[in-house]
Amino acid sequence: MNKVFLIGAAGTAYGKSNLTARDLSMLASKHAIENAGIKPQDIQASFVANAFGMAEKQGHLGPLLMSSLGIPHAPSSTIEAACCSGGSAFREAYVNVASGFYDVMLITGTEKVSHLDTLTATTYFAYGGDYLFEGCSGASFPGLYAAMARAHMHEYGTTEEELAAVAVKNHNNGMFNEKAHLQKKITVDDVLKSPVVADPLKLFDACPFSDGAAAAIIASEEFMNRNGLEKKISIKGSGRSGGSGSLHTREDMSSLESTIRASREALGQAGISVKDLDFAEVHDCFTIAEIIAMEDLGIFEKGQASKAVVEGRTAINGEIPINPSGGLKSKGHPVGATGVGQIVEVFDQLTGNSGKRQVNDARIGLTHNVGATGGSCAVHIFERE
Amino acid sequence: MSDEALFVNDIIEATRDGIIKAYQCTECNEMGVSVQALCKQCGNNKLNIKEISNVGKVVTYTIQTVAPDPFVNEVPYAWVIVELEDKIRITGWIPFISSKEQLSIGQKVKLVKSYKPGMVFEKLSE
Ligand SMILES: CC(C)(COP(=O)(O)OP(=O)(O)OC[C@H]1O[C@@H](n2cnc3c(N)ncnc32)[C@H](O)[C@@H]1OP(=O)(O)O)[C@@H](O)C(=O)NCCC(=O)NCCS
Ligand SMILES: [Zn+2]
Repeated sequence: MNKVFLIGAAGTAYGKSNLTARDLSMLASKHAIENAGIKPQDIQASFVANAFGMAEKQGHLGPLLMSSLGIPHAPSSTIEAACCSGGSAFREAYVNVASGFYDVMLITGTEKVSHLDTLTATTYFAYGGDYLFEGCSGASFPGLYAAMARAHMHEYGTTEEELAAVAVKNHNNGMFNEKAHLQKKITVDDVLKSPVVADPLKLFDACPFSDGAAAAIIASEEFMNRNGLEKKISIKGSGRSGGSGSLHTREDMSSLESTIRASREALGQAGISVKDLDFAEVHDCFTIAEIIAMEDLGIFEKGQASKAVVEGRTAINGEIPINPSGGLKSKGHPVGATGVGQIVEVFDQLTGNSGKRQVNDARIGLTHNVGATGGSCAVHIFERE
Repeated sequence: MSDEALFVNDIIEATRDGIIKAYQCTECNEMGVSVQALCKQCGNNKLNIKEISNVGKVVTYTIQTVAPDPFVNEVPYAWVIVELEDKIRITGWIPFISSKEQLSIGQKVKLVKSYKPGMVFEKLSE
């Protein structure tokens, strides 16, 4: 496999937007092209990550985006893997460039859902799980993670206060991210008193419904050399795994097998252990998801992650900062954009452009993106050159 | 014969009468209630479809207060994952459960019917 570099990455603000997913994807892509310092014509192919295009009555977004960028000849298709669409699209692009088929690819994730009311959005999101069995028996998406939370609490004694500490930490980080959806300081008490969505998960345990887009550009070493471009960030590992698309058929409800497999693949390629990471952006669609992610990644032992959060060990100035961007919880979760947006955060951190949320001397960062309840997982590891 | 498989509607339609249909591998006897054509364990393409016990225990659950479309007028209710007597896990819901205290992990339950189109369980006394 050839060495591949992350050469540009940019995102729009996340939140409620008046723009369409198409507009948002165009903006993010334009900014990524600008900060990569390449011409749009250098892009040979693209993947678009988008889960709910039909909510705007628009499928087949790729060619429309390429036309907006002035490169209609560049092939572009949509990759859909629910909330892991972005990470999956990045992985597929990586495979294309690492294998030597293309030299330069653009990956753009985009989503627009804020025009849907709570019920319609809740129904659309339920489609990402095993809808005919789980959704049709009444499980909302938060309900699936609530069932995992109850299993984790039962198995390891995890408490609602500990889950709340994840939300408090991520909202703290989001206060330093001017592009975050929910820029609001909250307390453990605020979380505990917020309305219940699916017991034991409450409004402040959940990520919001967000609009937004994020884009990344990757290139081969040969392209970098040929054009005399500065190599800033290399992709050290790319892991991808499937898992059972249904939650209810699994043996273990408090762990995601796909996270374990994808992360071991990525760490193995990078030749590092989680101890070498300077920070990680993990998939915290719900507070419990961040706990389970840290345990499955191997950052903390099973049952210990929530204690570590309470002790401040995962804060920006802690031993292993988790979600310095604010995570899905505070930064927001525009489904298709999320996995690419995590990579934008890594780009900003490793180039020293994260302002007040900058992780001190960040050199190696990891992204962890999950689709539904773990049916898909993508993990990537990046290193500053 | 090798076209034998468990399809979505086979499972859902049987539950209307409180019946659970499972597949069983003709080679290794692996069983499950899932849309299946090849055995998960050994890859065999010959599966038998059979009826199994509709009684089991709650593995985990949530109380839904914000629900997806067909369930808006049903809140609050419990969404459950159940392990049946044959050690197979399936999903369903229990109407009129409004707080977590009304249910517990390990509670014995039975599939009674399907409604809207989910699988409805009821609590059994031990
Ligand atoms: C929790 C949830 C049901 C709230 O629904 P919603 O349609 O966003 O709610 P509303 O727009 O009516 O928001 C009500 C208020 O809560 C705030 N809010 C919404 N979501 C919030 C969240 N996750 N955390 C904190 N505050 C939130 C809104 O800003 C709004 O505040 P305001 O009245 O001061 O403006 C919904 O956000 C949800 O289901 N989130 C999970 C999404 C999901 O499953 N994603 C996939 C995971 S992989
Ligand atoms: Zn078998």
